[in-house]
Formats: sequence, C-alpha cells, structure tokens
Amino acid sequence: MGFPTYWMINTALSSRQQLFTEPQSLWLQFTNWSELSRDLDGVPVVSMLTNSAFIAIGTTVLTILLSVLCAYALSRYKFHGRGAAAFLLFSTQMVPQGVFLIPIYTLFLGLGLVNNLWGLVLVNAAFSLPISTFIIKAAIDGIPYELEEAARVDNSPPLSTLTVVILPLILPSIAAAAVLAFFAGWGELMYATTFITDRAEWPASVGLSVLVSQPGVSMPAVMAVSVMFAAPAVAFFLFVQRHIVSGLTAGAVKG
Amino acid sequence: MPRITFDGISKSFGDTQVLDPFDADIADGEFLVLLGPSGCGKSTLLRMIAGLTDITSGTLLFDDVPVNHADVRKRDIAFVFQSYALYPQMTVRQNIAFPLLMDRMSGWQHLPILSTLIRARLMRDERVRSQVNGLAEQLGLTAYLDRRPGALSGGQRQRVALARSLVRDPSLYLLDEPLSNLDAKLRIQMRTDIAALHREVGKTFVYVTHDQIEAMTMATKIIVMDGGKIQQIGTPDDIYDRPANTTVARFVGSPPMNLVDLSSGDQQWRQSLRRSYGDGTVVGFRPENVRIVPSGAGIMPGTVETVERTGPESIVAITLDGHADSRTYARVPNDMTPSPAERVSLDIDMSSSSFFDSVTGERTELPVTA
Repeated sequence: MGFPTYWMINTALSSRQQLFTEPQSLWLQFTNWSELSRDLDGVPVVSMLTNSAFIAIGTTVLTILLSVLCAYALSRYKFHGRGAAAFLLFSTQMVPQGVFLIPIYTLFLGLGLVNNLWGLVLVNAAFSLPISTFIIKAAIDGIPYELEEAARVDNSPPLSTLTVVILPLILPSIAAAAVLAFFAGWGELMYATTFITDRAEWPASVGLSVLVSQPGVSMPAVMAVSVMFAAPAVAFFLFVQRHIVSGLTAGAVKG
Repeated sequence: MPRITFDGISKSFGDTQVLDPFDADIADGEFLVLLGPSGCGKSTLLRMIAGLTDITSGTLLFDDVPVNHADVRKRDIAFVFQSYALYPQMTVRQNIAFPLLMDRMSGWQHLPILSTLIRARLMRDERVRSQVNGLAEQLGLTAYLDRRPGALSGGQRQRVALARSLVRDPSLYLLDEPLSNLDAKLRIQMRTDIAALHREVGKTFVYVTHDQIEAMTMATKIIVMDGGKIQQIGTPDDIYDRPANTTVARFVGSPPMNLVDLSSGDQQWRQSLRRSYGDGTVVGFRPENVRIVPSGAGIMPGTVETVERTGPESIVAITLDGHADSRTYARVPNDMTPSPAERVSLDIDMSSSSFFDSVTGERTELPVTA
C-alpha cells in the first residue's frame, strides 16, 4: 500500500520531461508546480470530486437506511418467505454486475435517470444493499432478544426500540457497511461511464479514465488527480474506522 | 392492581404441548411463585402473563377483563428478566429513567434526532431526576449512576434491573428467576429485600423460580409445575405439609419427602404397614418427622448409609430393608446421630404423614390408625 501511494505522489510532482528522459528520482521534488497547474488547467477537478462525493454519500446513506430496516425485519420478524427473501437478496451477488448494465440503462432511459447522479446513487445502493444487509443482520442476530422485550415492557414503541436500543449496539457493523458502500459508490466506473455522458456530471472515476486515455496525456496531472481522488476516501475511512471497534453489548445480559 | 384469572390457559409450540390447560385465580396483592424444575413451562407461563408469548387457548383475565390480545405496553407490568436485559450503551441512570422517558413521549417525539433532543431534555427534568435518584438511593445504586452495566457486578446489575422495573410504579410485577445469577449470600439478602418490597408496595407479584427455598420463604401462594402440568396450587404450608401428589412431594423440601411404596416387598414391617394402610399405598413423611431408634424398636428397620452434618443438625441417609434402590432421610439433632453401617429403626409420626396412591401418585386421605 505504502510504496505505490508514495510513487503516485512522486510522479505527480515530477515534470513530464523528467519522466521521459531520465530515471525517475526516488525523492519528492517540489519544483514543478507551474507545469502541473498548467497540465491540470481545463480538468474539472472540483466538479468531478463533488460529483463523486454526491454519489458516494448518497449511496452510503441510502444503503444504510434501507439495509438497517431490511436486516431488522429479516432478523426479528417471522414471515412467510423470509428465507426466500434472504436468498433472493444474496443471490444478486452471484451475478456479475455487468449483466444488469443494459437492462438498467433502458429502464433509466424511460425514467430520465440517465445522465443523472441520482441514477448512479440508486444503482450503487442496489448493489451494496445485499452485503450491507447481511453484515447488519449478523449484528442484530447477536443482540439478545430480551433487550427488545425489555424495551416493549418499558413502553417503548418499535421506532424508539430500533433507534435508541438497537442502533447504538450495531454501530460498528453499520460503520463497516458504510465503508463498503462509500467505496463502492466512490470508485464505481462501469455504470458511471455508461450512464453519464454529460462532461459536467462526470464523477472522478470517469474523469480519470478519460484523462488517462487522452493522447498526449500528462502523467503528473493524472497522478495528481489520482491523489486528490484517493485522499477523501482515505479520510472517510479513517473517520469511520474509529467506530469499527469491538461491540458494546457487554453487560446487557449476565456474564 | 389486577386480580389474575387463568381460564383454561394452555400453550403449545407447533405440535408440542408445553403447558396443559389449567384454571387458577390469583387474588390482588398476592405473591405468587411459579415453582418447578427447568423446562417445566413456568417461564413460558410468566411470559404469557406479560404478553411476550401468545396464549394458545384459554383466557387470561386481569380484573375479569380478557387481556389475551392486549399489547405488552398496555398491561402496566414490570418484568425483571433472568438475564436482566439492561441496555448496555446507556448508563445506570439512563437505564432506570428509560421507562419514564418512554411514558412521557408521544408518537412524533420518537422520530430520530428529535427523540435524542427530547430525551436529553427529559433527563434534566426535575421529576425524572428525583424519581431516579430516590430509587437509586433506596437500592444502594447512587454511586454507580453514571456507570454502564458492563462495569457492574451481577448483584448491582440485578438491582438496576429491579430499579428499572420499579420506577414506573406498575400494577403487576413479573420476575423471571431474578436471583439465579447471584452468589448464595447476596441471594439470601435480595430474597429478603424483594419480600419486603412486596409488603411495601402491596402489588401483585409473580415470581418464577426453581429454588424451593425461595418459593417457601417469599410466596403467599405457590403453583408447582412439572412437565407442563400444574401439579398443585396452594399456600407454602399446603405444598409442604399436604403435597397433592408424589411429584410435588419429591420436588419440595431438602432433602425431599421420603416416599415408601407399600405395594411390593414381603418384609414383615411392610406387611404390617400394609394391613394398616392398604396395599396400594405410598407413605410419605418428612425427614424431620422421623426419629431414629435402636434396631427393633421402630416401624421401619434399616442400615445407616451416610451422616451429613449441616451445623445445627444432621441429615442421616438410611437404606430400609428391602428398599435398596432408594434412601430414606432423617433430620436429627447432632447428639443423636448414629454412625454409618449401624443397624437402626425408624419411628415415624404417622399423624403428619401423607399417603399417595401407588399407581396414580395422587394424594389419598386415610384414617390414621398407627
């Protein structure tokens, strides 16, 4: 992990001439800023990152919201077809995502969701939902049923039982699921390139892939964008990581 | 403050009958103990009273109002779980205050975020504070109010669970083996505390236990259960002195009631007892109603197996002649204990004995002639 990251930064700070005419220096150089900023001119970095952030955050929020409710139902309610529902949810993971590309495209065409970031939020949330649901379901399964019964006796309605009693206990699993959903939304390329043709709506993943395939590409510029693309994701991970610690259930029941 | 009526209540899970239909009537203010070995259906019955488990057939009435389908939250009950079921993410203070907050919050106030703000405000409310503090004081929890349950000992957790159920001042208290996780000394103390609490609040208590000492000391009424059947309903004295059948006789008392089956064996002492009490009879007598006398003097001859000194007295295990597969226990003063392998005879106070049918195991009333 460490060295490629370093090399990415190193390349971003090199000049094009240095890259093509001499062995790349092992040390960071801080003398090529003007060339880098000239190369980045015209690359809509800010809008690309904003779009990516919109997709990633939207995906995360939607995924967590739906998968908590879904996981709670799968874990706690007995209903006909519970097993089938769980299987169906999980079976979506057995099919490559690419298979759904064309059907979803035609569907979104009718719904006006092509060239629309909301469309990508929906798609990414749909793909993140099963794994997220199962992570959270496993956490809810581990909570003693008596806690909810105690809440019922204490006159707590189902909404408060879920948000006040259950949610704080499954926070580590929610954080883990959030990391997965965020990265899925942040880095997703296939659906983004297919659905987003409007340059202004490009997320960074699409922008970067277009940038790297252009003739006469500036490698330092690509790497600079890559660094900017990676940084928020790392920051998000570090922010959430604190919550992915051992659970809090100790002390609920005897032991 | 409800009077509880069980009208043909039964429970089955699928094809498995876990509780046979039964009727019972529990007066208001009673301390009812559901007593029985593990898996006899007593916790299930308690959960049915609470509304946490649905009733297969029959009607459960609180003050003559059927509550079979009443929601748990509408039954105005307190439930102390065997595992305590404290909310681990909340402090002791928040745990105890939780029922109060929930009682005071209306529908829309439970919406996320809004609910957090409202709960924080209610926690500062003077009445909530004073109620929680008062109860914490009473149960000796003041020093732990800001700790989480994970940092408490079993006894402290148990008291938090009790405090959380008490804080709402409900009309019916349901306790599911609340003392089973405590050490012996604390158990005796909590036993006294809970009995005192019952006298103080004067509400109806339903208490589940497999510990017959708990049942005998706390109950005003006991329902003895075994194998999904109600074996006997009565006061502690009824249960102890006049067990309804051999199952109750064997379960209650430590050591339990001695049962001598007269229907088989041809020893002389059996034949003479048969003449007095009939040949299909089981004689039951408590260890404290036995006197050990020199061989040849009493009614039942036997050999001493072991002598256990319990402190104030000794428990003597005796194998009766022709009764090798089971032991008969006598509770005797320390200075009157025989030594192991000694030949002795037992003199029994027949007027305090019980008699059972050897086939059905049911209690029979016989005129005492010996």
